[in-house]
Amino acid sequence: MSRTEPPIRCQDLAVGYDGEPILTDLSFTVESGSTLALVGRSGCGKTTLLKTLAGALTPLEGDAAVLDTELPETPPPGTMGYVPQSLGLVGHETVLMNVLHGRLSDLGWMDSLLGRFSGDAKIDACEAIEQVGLGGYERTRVKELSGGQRRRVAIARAFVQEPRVLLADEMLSELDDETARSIVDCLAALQRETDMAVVIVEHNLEIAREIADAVLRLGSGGIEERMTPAGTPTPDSTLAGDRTDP
Amino acid sequence: MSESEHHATAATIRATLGTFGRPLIFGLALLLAIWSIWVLELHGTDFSGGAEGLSFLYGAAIPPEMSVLEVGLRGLLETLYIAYVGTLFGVVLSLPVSLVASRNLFPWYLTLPARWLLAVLRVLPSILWAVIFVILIGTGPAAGVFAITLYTIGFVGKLEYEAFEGLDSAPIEAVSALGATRLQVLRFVVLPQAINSLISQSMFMFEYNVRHAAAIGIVGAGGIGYYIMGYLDFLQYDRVIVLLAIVFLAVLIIDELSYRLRALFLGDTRTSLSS
Repeated sequence: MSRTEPPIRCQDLAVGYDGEPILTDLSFTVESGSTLALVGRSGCGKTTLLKTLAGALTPLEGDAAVLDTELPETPPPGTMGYVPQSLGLVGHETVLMNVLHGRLSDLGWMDSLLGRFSGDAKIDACEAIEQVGLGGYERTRVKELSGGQRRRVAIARAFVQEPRVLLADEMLSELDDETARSIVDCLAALQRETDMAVVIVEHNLEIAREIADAVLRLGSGGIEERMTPAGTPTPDSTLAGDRTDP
Repeated sequence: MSESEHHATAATIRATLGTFGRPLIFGLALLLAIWSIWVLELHGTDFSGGAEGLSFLYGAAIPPEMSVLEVGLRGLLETLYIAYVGTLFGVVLSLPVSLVASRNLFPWYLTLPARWLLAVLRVLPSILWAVIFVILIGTGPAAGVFAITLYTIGFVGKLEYEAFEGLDSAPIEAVSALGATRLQVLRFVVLPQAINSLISQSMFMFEYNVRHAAAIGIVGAGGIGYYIMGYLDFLQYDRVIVLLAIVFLAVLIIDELSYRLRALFLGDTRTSLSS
């Protein structure tokens, strides 16, 4: 991929289910190292857009690419992290194993069959578990954790992957203020380290403004408003998430 | 037809059935039952000789000939071996087929042939598979093991793919989005989620196969049924009754053990689903 190409770019994108569009005319880019927050009322299509970017849904119209891979194809294994709203954890498995799922791209077919991860992967996973405040829970089954703790496991899974693009749906919901703050700090540190592009779905506009470089308010079947972190609307032509924008 | 149209059509059919369909279906079911009884001439069954037959059977079987207890226990052990090995082979072999048969994991052009294969294996009950294997490889427990194995693949395979299709799709989607291969999704997401259900189904199948392994001996496929048939041929009902009692008790004990173990695993599954 050329360095000038943004990791996420959408042009006139329409997303929805069963051929019925929920959002149309979506045009935006997200640059490396920047964060785009999607806000809007419940049911406006935030999660649908994120699922489409994750390759779980097929775009209805327009062009969209993540890491130069046209949707609905997914970029190379290990390059895109995804924290879905439902978290997508395996309840019967331990916290450590769920976090190690973020490193599946390291495994060949034989190691996959035997469920064998490298020592480095395990150390990285334990560090990620520690980062999200779950140290000591490595051997605990996920089904025994609270909702907030499970969310932290899903975040640790994305962190251990060190992806170039992270898509997170309501990553901070169900978390207490202190934990949410530590997750935001971890995310910022990881972003500085890896230059990762992040798209988050967030209900709370204040939080969205605080952690994102650009905010898209979705509604009425499309983008209602483009905002900078300060909350000032930007011209329609401005691509959200582009740090070079005013 | 889109999914919403499909749901609308299904709702219309249900509403129509609710008004006119239920009395119609009930009436047809009743007519079919009467017709079947007529064709089978059940209405003309003569029970007048039943008491005499029962009296003869009682006289021939009581007192039981306990000297066959050792033969019976040996036959029971062979039946248990046949059921265990047949179940084990069947469950292991059914796993890859049932994974491929799951519509949420593989495309239709793979799921369809896999489902056909499982359906074909289920068409014949294990006793008819046993007849075929007795013809192919001769009498003995090997024929029984192969018969039980084939039927188990068909039966458990169906239960397994239904279990896989009922799994929570969120972990599958999430781990797939991380770039996991299909093998990794199966190994790290599908099997850990389904494992309790698979263990429970395997235990149920073993319990089921013990009963059938006892029966398949009648056609020469080994086990206690083989001895029962031998004694029946010589009208030695006092020996037959001992062997039947052994089967009866063994099946009762295994049913109870299996039920308790399955409840343990299914209880665990329910906890996880509700949590």
